Amino acid sequence: MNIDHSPLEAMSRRAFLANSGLGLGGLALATMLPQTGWAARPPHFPAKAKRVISLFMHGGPSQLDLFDHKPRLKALHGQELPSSVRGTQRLTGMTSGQKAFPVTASAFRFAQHGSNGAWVSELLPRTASIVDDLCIIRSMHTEAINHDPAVTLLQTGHQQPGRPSFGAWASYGLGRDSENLPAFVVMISRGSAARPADPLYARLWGAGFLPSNHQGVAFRSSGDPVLYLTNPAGIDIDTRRDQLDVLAELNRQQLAAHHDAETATRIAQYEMTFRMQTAVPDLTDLREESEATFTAYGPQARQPGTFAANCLLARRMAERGVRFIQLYHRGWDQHYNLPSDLRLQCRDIDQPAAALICDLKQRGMLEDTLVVWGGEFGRTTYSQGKLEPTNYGRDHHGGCFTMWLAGGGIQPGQVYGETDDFCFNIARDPVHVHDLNATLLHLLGIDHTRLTYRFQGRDYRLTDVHGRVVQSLFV
Amino acid sequence: MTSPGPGWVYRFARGETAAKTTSLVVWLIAVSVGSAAEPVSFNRDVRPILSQHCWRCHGFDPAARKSGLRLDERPAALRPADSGHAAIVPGKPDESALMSRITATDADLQMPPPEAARRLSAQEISVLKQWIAEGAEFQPHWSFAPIKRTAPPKIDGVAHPIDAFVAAKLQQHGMELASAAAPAALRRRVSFDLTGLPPTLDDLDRMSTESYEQYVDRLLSSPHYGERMAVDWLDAARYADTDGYFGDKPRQMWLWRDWVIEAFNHNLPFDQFTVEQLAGDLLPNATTQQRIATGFNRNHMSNDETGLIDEEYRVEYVVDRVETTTATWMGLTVGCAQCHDHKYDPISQREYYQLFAFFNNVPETGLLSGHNAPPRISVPGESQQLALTELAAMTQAAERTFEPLKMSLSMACRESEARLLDTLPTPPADDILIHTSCESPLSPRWRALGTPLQSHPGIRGGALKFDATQHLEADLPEWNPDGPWTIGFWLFAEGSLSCPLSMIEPEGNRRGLEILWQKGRFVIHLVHEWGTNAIEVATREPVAAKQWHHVAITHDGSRLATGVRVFVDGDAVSLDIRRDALTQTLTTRQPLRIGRRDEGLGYYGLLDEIAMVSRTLTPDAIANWKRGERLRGILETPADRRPARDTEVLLDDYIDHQAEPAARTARDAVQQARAAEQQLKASIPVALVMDELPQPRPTRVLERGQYNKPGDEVTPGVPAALSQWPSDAPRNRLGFARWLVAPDNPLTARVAVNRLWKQCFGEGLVRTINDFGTQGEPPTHPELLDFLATTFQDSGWDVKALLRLIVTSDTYRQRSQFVLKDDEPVDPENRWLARGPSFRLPMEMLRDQALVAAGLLKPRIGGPSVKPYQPPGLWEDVSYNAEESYEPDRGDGLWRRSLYTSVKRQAPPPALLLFDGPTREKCTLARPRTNTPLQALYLLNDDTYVEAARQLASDCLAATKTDDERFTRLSRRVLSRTLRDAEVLPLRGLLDRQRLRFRAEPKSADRWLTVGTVPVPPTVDAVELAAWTVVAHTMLNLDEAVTRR
Repeated sequence: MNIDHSPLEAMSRRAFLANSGLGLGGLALATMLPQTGWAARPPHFPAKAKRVISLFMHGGPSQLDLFDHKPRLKALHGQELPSSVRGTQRLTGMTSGQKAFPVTASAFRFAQHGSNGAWVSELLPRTASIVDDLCIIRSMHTEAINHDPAVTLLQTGHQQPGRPSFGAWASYGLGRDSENLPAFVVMISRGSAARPADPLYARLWGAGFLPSNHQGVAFRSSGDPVLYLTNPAGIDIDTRRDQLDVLAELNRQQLAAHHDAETATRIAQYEMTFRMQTAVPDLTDLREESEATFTAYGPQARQPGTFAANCLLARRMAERGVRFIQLYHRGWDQHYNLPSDLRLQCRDIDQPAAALICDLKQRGMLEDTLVVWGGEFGRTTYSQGKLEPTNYGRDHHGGCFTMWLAGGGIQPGQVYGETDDFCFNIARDPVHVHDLNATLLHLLGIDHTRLTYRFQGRDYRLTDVHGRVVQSLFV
Repeated sequence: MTSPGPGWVYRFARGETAAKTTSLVVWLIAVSVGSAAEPVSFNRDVRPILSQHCWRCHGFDPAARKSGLRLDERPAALRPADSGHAAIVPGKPDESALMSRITATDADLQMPPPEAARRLSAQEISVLKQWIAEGAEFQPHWSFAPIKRTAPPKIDGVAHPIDAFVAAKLQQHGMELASAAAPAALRRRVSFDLTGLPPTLDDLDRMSTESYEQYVDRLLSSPHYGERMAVDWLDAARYADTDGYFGDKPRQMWLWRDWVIEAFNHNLPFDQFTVEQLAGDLLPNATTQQRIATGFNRNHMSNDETGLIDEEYRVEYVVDRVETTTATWMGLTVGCAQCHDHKYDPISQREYYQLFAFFNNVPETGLLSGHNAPPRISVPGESQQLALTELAAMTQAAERTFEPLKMSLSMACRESEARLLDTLPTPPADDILIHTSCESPLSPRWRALGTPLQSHPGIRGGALKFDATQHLEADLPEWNPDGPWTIGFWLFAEGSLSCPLSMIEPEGNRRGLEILWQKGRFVIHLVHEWGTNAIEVATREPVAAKQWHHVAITHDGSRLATGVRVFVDGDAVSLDIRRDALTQTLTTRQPLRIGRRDEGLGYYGLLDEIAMVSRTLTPDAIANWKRGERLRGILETPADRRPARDTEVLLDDYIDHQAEPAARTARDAVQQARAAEQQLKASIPVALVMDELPQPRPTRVLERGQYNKPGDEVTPGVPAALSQWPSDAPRNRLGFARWLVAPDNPLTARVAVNRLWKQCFGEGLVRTINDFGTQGEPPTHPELLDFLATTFQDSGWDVKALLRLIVTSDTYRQRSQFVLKDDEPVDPENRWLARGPSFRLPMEMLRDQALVAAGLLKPRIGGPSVKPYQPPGLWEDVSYNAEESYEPDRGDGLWRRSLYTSVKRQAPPPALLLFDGPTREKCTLARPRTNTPLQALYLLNDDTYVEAARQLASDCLAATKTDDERFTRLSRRVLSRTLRDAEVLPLRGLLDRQRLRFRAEPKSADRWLTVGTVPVPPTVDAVELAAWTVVAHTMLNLDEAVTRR
């Protein structure tokens, strides 16, 4: 796909619009509007997934306590991690100075689930029940070992700020599928762990050097769901309509005088605000959801701003054609007190995430909706700080971690990749963050090497100069 | 070409200004190689093709070079390659291997290879063919070649040099300059371009008596000129008010920002502007202002994330300086050469690290601790300097008065000790639920779990020492946690997060209560069901760790967050209410735990004198409790074993409670003077500055750009392909800065004038404003660019003079209407300048315009950043543990110019992001220009605009009498012109309908008129004002209002 239209094509497009604004009255303009801005663009090749729901577990969930079962660690519990295993992997400054690296077995029970016998920890019973729908990748890896660079790498393909986020690339590459909603939406929820939540940054859903209209739009649980959506106090819908009509009339006069296509676009965008003022509240109004749905997603789904409520909203957005829906759930940074805090975090997300998969499946949407679960890195096999009888913590670990994918062309019921007995190194089928992004783009019908944008003399892409599509994950 | 399909609608109307991202080749072919008769130009026609398709593998970088073939210089390209064939045989395309490879269909032979992202078009192939046929001449890349001194072409009737260059090009394309814009439109245009503000009514009134040139001079001498110039510079310099990475802590750099404004206002020559910002600290006898100027290269982000590897980020800061400096002054992206030789431009990896070496000597660390990363300087203002001296004298004087008294007071205090013990208030004795003095052995009511308890000197006798491996439990079956209660204890906390006291379920609903220590703050959870039915409050001001504090928490049984109070060291402290949704009981069967939450969150530190009381103690009782225990603890220790600090505590207490009032006055005077001095010192602004290590840090080439893969050592230097290093320049930043502004540097002047051109025309003569390298676009008017560059240098780098030259040209003054031919716009991108430019105003100008039109703008220049209106909750969503809140200023801070708005990189002002502004994390030289519905929502619904519209309407109502006069005044204030009848008509209709509506709904009028903070005078006719406010609000949203034409 040639994303960048040539200037000549662009000129004629612009020319046409400017031109058509000249002799047209309100009626013709109105018929132009439904098209403006919302036509999707064709992918490089047929897409398996039309949209992505990313369930981002910010902080780095412990793969050792959730998915990557290491029964041998029980016997080694408390013993020093062999230096041959530790090798040369970089450790963060929080543990690199530790005198001891005691191997720490998970405090949680694991059992096999589903027809493929995937191991899942007791902390995620609902996830375990849908494991046949998931593809669990245990061999994710990243070179970043601190939150800021790791999450920036995962979301933008680069550890340092300045690049567009995945959702922005998706919006840029594929356009919108929704008439009245943005292509890229972000929702944030706060975890239940006592551990302080690590910071997020606007850049994680920013457009980087792409045009700013590709940046993610934050949907918020208090105040306006979309910033500035609601009319000011004292302005009702009729007054607003009146204002918009007068604006359109005067702007049409301006268009006729200046022939500037930007004016025609502006007229359309002001009309769009009016439609968004209906479309967004319609989206966020959960009253039409059935009792069964709330039962499935759990009682917190009724509490705006929770992960459960956001999962339900994500499904409603998916139904309405939002291209990239990203949930951030904060609080997965269990340096200390992992047993108690991880339990709380899992309780936040287990039921709603599983319910989302079932819900999508039931509605026939899972096949073209790609769901991604995971954080920016994993956690160490050794304990951070003192290993106590009932308590431990784990430091950041980029050497291996677990994510799961579902739907959208992903082969379900798969467990991909393997780590060593200590869950410190990858033993088989490594998947780098760039590989994951290349793979996700592929499912969206995009060749990651061809989705580029020229900035400062260089054709940038999400996967930088890296990335390999992991074909074996596909149906 | 003109068939409109869904594709074009998509791209255009998503709001991107059309054709911004360029496929250069197509454009070049279309406009330049129009006829086969015209010979091919290497730089114009061939270089882009080679650069785009060939040089990645056959270019400057030997590591990436394939098959030994090099196509970026003539001798190498003519030499037979490994295959034995010469890629290029001049004059003989048919014998040139290049031609056979690019036209091959066999996948093994085809070039670029089949896996390449792009293929050559037929048009590109024919250009290469023609070029080889014409002799395959190479030219150096235009921007690396010396700036040519060019004279404007002679064109009849054209006096202004810019117009001569432009008219000559227009003639070539069969076009001509458009007529001049209307005088008022022109004033509006030039006022925005030079001051960022619309013309005032007075500026418009002066049109008949003041020439355009005089007006331009007035604008250039306005203090608002420097503000407007600073905005673009702040983008380039990635200026912000926070550190950016991870915790994104506040930083102070506004002194540097003010330096920039002042520098522009004083028209500091651009060479000096350059030298001072890059190396002001290295100038002989550097002034404070020159050191502040170096903040340019300290505006980069800083990282405070615990556990990061120091050198990794220290290197990152140097990388950022190199990138920002080269992009801003040289228009080059050298970043590619951080990992390998540049693939397109002649910059080797070694040369990259030679540049790096200039910026590698700052005494700094990668891991930021505290605020305002050193090196930094404190810069007291004049009045602060005076006050400092005064306060120091006051402290001294107070001490001199108090010292003699102190001697006798200390003696009296010691004598009173025995009596004091009898008169001290006792800790609460009634309604005690449980108490422990933390002496071992503990009463049998307590169960000790985990590792053995340790004792440690405490507030009274011993305290218990915890290290998260042990805790105490006790059962409190008689306690009703839903009724009133008080919990008090002494705490000496270590670590960042732990739980000193809890009574909470570990799983399920997590019902109960817990007190957490979180980096100096106390967080209290009262929970029926966590997440849905709970109270969470946190103390706002952190207290010091590793010090004793008395903590008391009271609850009045109301189940409201406001019913919870926290007292630290005897005083009530302010709380943030994070959750307030408790409606049901807290009762749980869990035991009271001391030193742990449940199975996790063990406490690190000391605890002493823990008590729970089944009523709400009064503030007085709590203050007494604290005092009684503290003093008892001291008095029970023999005097010779007391720490000095405890003796001070006793003395203070003696002075407070027993001494003569005069003693208290004298003591208070000392304390107040010291506090005032401290407070003043803390308020003195600081600025991050550049500094040099006494011994330069060795710089090594970093393999693949990695901080931990150092290779060969390099010395500071500049790329060989550019101009020579001045023989007398020192090999440091100062020398580098002098090299940049040396007359033979081919880039600096071109890049600078191109940016000034963009300021006035919306686009540069080189459209790729941040890429003057081989991948960028060549200038549309190369001779004009070089003329401006030499003029700029010759003038002594006079920025105001260059701007004046540009805005007084007819080219600038043309009307901006699109020119149509056969109903198609001619040159819609305005490359040939047959019309004046038009574009949507940047965010800063949009908001400033509304404030000016409303008469709200506070015109003060400079000072600390401000916080205007912003929807609540945005900082909480993303900040560390939701700890930071945006609190809008009260008063003037709401209406200062937008460049003073505080920028938090993690959560920049939302309007800035909506209107294409950067996050200020990286150097930004050009903002995109989009046109989106979210922008429309902001302009329609943000408080700023509603308040501005109301003030604007108020002004019109007060200043004029009739509707007609009011429409005129309104439109002059917003659009700088009067309305035509056809425009008044719909507005009049709107006004009349809104009058009817507000008359029928006076409450709506009241609500509409109370948005914002400026009060509406009670005498005003609310209906009339409300209706006119709707009209003004509509006007502020007009396409014409938000666009600079």
